[in-house]
Amino acid sequence: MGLTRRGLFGAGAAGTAALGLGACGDDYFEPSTDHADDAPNTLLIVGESTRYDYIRYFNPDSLAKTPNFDALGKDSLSFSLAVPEAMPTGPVRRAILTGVRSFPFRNYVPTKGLPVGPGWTPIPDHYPIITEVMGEAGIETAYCTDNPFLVGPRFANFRRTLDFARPSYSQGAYRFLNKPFKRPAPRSSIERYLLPDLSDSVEVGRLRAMAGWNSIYRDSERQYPTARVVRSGINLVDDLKEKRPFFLGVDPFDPHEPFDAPRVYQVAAGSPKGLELEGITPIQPFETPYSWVIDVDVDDDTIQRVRELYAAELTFIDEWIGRLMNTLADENLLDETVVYYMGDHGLTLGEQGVLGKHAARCQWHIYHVPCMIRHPEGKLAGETSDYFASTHDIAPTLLSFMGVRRPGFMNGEDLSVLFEGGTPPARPHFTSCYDDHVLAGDRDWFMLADSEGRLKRLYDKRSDPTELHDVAAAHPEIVDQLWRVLEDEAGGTLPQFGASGKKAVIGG
Amino acid sequence: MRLTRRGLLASAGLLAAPALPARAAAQEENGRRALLVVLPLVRKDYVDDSGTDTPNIKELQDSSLRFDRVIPECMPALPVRRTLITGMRSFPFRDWKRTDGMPAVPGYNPVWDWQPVMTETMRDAGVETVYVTDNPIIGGPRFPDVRRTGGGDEPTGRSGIKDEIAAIRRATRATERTFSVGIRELREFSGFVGIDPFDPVDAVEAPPIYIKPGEVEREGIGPMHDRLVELRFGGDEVDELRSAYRDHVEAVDDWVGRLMDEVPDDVFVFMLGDIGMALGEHDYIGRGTPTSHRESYEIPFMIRDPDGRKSGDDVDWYASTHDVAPTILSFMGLRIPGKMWGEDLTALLDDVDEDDLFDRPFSITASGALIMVRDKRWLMVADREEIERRMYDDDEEVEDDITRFQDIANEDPGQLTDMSLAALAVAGGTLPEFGQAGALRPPRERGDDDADDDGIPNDFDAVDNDEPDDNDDQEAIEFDGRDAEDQVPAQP
Repeated sequence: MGLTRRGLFGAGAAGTAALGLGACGDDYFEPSTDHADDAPNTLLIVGESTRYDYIRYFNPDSLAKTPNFDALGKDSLSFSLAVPEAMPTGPVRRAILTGVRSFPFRNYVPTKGLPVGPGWTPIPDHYPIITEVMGEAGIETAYCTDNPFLVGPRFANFRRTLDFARPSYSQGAYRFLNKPFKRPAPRSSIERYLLPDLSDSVEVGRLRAMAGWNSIYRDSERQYPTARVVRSGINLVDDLKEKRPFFLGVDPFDPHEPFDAPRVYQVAAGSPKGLELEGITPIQPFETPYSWVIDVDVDDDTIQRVRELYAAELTFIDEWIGRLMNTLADENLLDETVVYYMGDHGLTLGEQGVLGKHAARCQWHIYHVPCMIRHPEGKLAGETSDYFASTHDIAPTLLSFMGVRRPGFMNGEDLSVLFEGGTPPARPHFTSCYDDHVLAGDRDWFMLADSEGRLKRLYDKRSDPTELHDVAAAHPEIVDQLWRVLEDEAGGTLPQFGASGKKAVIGG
Repeated sequence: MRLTRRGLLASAGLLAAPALPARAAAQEENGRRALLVVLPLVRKDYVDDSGTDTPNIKELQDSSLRFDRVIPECMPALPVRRTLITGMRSFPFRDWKRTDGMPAVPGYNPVWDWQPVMTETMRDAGVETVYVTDNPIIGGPRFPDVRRTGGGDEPTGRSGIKDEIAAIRRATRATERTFSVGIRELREFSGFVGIDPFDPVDAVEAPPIYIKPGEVEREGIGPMHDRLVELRFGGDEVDELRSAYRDHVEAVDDWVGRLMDEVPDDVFVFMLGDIGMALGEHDYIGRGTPTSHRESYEIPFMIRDPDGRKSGDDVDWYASTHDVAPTILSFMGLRIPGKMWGEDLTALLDDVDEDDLFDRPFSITASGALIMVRDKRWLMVADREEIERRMYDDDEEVEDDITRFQDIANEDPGQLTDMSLAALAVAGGTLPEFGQAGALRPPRERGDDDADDDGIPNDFDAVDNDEPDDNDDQEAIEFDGRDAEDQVPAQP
């Protein structure tokens, strides 16, 4: 007889007392819905700022060595063109956690505690949250992250749904929560990271805060933010293995800039060149969110070194994700756990004349993200799907794997159908948005425009995969068609943002 | 004895299949059959009491899971059909584009290519489907399963009670035609049958809203897209109208009886009304009116499970017409397309408590450019911009009908705000504006969009950014540390 949670509670089985929860034994903790008896565990790994073409499984020429992601890829169904339904970090997290599209940011209002810009809103009160739905079905939920938005006040409603919340305060303003707090490092200690052209930018303060924090909280590889997050994930596996089925989210905020992997990884990725020969390690080569290459005045060698530093950080993350996967293997959990890995967005590393993430240059470097699903029975291992998988599909898919009825309010598709030989409902185009820019495309075409539609750029991906040559003038019918796709996907009209996109939605 | 899942587990100790997600169910429950029946223009209160003789609907209600507080997700008859078949909300008609041959009223447009269609999803999974209706928007290549009844009336225009009575009779005739064809189809069906009586006139003519002269100024209701007819009507005319309406409901009930005689016991039956109608209560007559009379909105809504689960139970949860498609698909063991926004009500059959269903604090609906928000007690009627808002207190404790007439929007601004925000939330953040030809987008507040006036908006223009002496030629923009061929993305 399969042991459901409800069964356990009802029978008062000896083991439940140890759960703490079970000891209470009152109705309050009784799951209100159900999960499948043989539900697998689910592990969600989110890759911050991870470019598709830097994962070696997808691109053998990648600068980054990613043996663990490659191994995961060989065991998984991967998606050749996964596009987040809205970007960047904040909207992606909202879509992942709710299963509801953030596109086209119609509910944007500037929110204290979040950056100013379309899409940066908390999870609205009436939205479903994946961990809440799972919790109601009696599934143990855990999430570890150092993402400065998820650990902040605006995502408290998400954290409250968790059985195990493991916020790590390694980023941004939240570092002061660590004791003993130390003040930012002196300016002199960051000169070696600072590009001359950024010497009086906002990055000075950021780097000083980072360097100050690092000097006392980061004495070994284990203390780097990603390692902290993954280590708390590994510890959680220890807690969760007795409480199956469980959901575990591991969401480190790297390889986000600054690209400060441990020295050994930086050395392995390449040798000093460009500015580094003059004593400047360009771990923060742009003013977040982006700088034009010509503004920061860096040469080709320096750009190459920036890419190597980025690759080094990705290799570092790969190493730690590998440890997490090994833990699952050691605990014999791999054959009963679905592993879902997805990047949230990429960033531009010198291509298009941009360093960083520029909404008006939100091209393949940014929108094309890695995505793979590892089935516990090894179904479709090594296969590739060309479905335009997206971030809002994660919640419905994980719920479906666990046999939990998903709220109809979630509008992602259930991708688990692929593992049964089925196909999800057709999605002939991908559509997404970033700030007040919108993008749409398919396998042949890609269009990027501001949401007002003043300047629509079209790229022919067949002849121009790097998206350098705007051919909108030659193919107005494709531009119109893709624009219609965007309007339809937005429900009929695209929203109108206030002046310069910095104000709330004013209509549409 | 009612066989609930929990009951089974407890008594027999059998491990019944858990409540389920479509996936597993699809494999073990092949051959499930479902019937969707739409009762045109039937108000819930006319089924329940009010001296109308409706034994057949009542009988089905007694063996069904009944929803007591349902108003359609949008109104009137044409848009609500779109909701039924797509499982997507049509509220707040943001996708409205004026369509030839249809009235220029928000909501009157075809099923769009990008919308999911319930019967298409079924056929893709190998389920045989038949849909009996005279509705022109349910037609074309995506609806090969549609059966027409071969009848229908020409539009004549409506301007008074007599015309309205004629329109009710047309609905009765549509019911007769559609049910008789439906019963024939039912005899030889194996998958899904939809019986959806629709008067084709409803697709080319928006139903008028009859209101006494002066009321518009007094009540302040928003744009009505030429549906407003000012009319003095008295008690006799209202009596005549109600009597015609009662005849219609009784005729529908009669056909429900004939239909249910033919329906095998192993068929899942989803029966609901499409829209209600104001019959002179609170000075309104018409379909999809912005009335303060809440019974005018309510429709019967019931699910009969072939295993008799929850038979005779009633539920207060604010179900609506967009829940129909997901529920039927889920019962048949099929996956629900993500674009369908309705909830899967089979959860209730699987013993999920109504309080544990996805939280839906209000019924929210739209008719043209008007929106109505309702819960157990309050009813708000507003125009699209929520400038003119009226709110009524439908406190069931108070017998006095007067409180339900009075607009008390100014007396409880907190409640008014809650309800307004609820409508905005469901609409995604804004309610659309409507022009003559479709939903509009307001012009942008232009400012420094193009600082150097070179025709390239700032967002795209390196020159317009912080450094005025930037070099913005194509070469600079495409500048890259590598040659172009080095940065070709991996092609798996």
